[in-house]
Amino acid sequence: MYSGLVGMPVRLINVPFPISRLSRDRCRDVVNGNDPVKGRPIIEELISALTTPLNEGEKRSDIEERTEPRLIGPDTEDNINQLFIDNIWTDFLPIVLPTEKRVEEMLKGTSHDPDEVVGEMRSGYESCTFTVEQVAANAVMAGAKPEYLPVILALAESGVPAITTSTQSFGRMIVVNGPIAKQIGMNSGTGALSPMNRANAVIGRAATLISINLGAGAVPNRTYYGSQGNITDYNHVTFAENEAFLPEGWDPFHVQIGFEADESAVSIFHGYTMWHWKDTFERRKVDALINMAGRPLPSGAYKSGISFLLDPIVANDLVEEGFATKESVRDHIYEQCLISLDEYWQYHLVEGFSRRMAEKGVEPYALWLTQSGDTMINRYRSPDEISILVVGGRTNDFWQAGDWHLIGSFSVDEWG
Amino acid sequence: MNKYTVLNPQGHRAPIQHSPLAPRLDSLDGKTIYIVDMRWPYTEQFTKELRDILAEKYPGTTFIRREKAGPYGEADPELWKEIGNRGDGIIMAIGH
Repeated sequence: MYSGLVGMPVRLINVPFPISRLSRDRCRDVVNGNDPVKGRPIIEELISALTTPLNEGEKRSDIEERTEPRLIGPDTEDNINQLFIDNIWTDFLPIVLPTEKRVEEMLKGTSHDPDEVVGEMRSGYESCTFTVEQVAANAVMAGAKPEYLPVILALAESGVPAITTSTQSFGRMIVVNGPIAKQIGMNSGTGALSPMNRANAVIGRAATLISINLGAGAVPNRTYYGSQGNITDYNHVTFAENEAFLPEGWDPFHVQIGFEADESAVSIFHGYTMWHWKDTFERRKVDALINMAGRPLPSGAYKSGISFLLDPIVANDLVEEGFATKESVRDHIYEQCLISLDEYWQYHLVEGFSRRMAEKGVEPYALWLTQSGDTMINRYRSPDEISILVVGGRTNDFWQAGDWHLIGSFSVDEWG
Repeated sequence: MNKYTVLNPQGHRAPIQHSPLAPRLDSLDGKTIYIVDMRWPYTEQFTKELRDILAEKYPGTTFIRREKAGPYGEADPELWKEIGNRGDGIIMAIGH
């Protein structure tokens, strides 16, 4: 159906999900039953799909041009708001209308030309390209100040959609490092992960609007199929690292991955959810971290990871426990967090990805398939899949973890 | 009442190059239809039953069930080539 949007029609027959792990009898019932969307027998639909002559739309081989007007209106505020809602160009929170004057003002936040192409993004089934001006329009809608625009442009340039089409209800985490965080007033201290700061709130929201409008996605049952959705999509866990209270010897996250300390960068992580240290019992904090690191999907051909969001108090406690750098914490967790192959192969996504690669002879998965079940392997494929971030206001030795792994970090300075 | 002109927030969508579907079959009699399991974990039972039921209902047609190599999102050029050479049609099973 919607693959028709990118020019390749498909005759789809739907079956009730899931079809994974069904008994033989249940499989037969499903196959002999009806397509839940069309209400007709699945077998008849299959035969019809193979034998019914093509309609005119299915015969098309032409090129279809699509153009959208740069401007909308003039119209009343109510009518324009309704148009944005009807077209699903919003996240359904109130928006600031992107008038020419407001967008012009927003563009003062960057030295780049409004017509410059920023990049390409695909949230749903087709990619869009977009300009600085179009990113600025979405920044206005989100409620941004002009000084936020370089961060939002960096997010857009990344091409990483904050919301993606998968049925799995993915989430993202967005972390800002470097001087820009302080310059635009981001919160890295008390309540940094809560809706208590304009920059944190708006930058996260802008990532959503970019996915919708510049990535052509996030429309339920059309370009988005996350069965439950993800509560983190509301703000994508957007915060700045508390660089001012990093222990001596602990580098800011962006420095760990190659930026200079005086450069600014935004990092985008992929994952699903977060949990907290209250579920642990270990006396040493590093042991509690290892406990928590044993929770996410073990990594493999389907990449996994974990990020720890530590209050500065916790970071200092880890220094007291002998960890002079973030890397020393990360490496220790990597070495200590093990899993048996017996357990490893039981994970659904390991079956779907690592086992398939093993069958193709790809290492180390092929070797693991030949080893005994009690062989222990590292839960993560590399220490780089474990991220240490410091955030919080030192009101409690609190920390959280999320199954977030880094997709990439992107320069903000280039967009100033 | 005040009226406003606003920027269109959408990105530029590329032109669509439409690709036609292959012509359909007049009949399934004497034909070979491949059923390709994309191999989402543990869906093999479903595609086996699909093959068996189709074979029971359409005895004049050969239904061949094959599992695609690699994770579900990867292409399997060897299998596509085989189907192109030996098959008359394909049912692709993409499941969860």
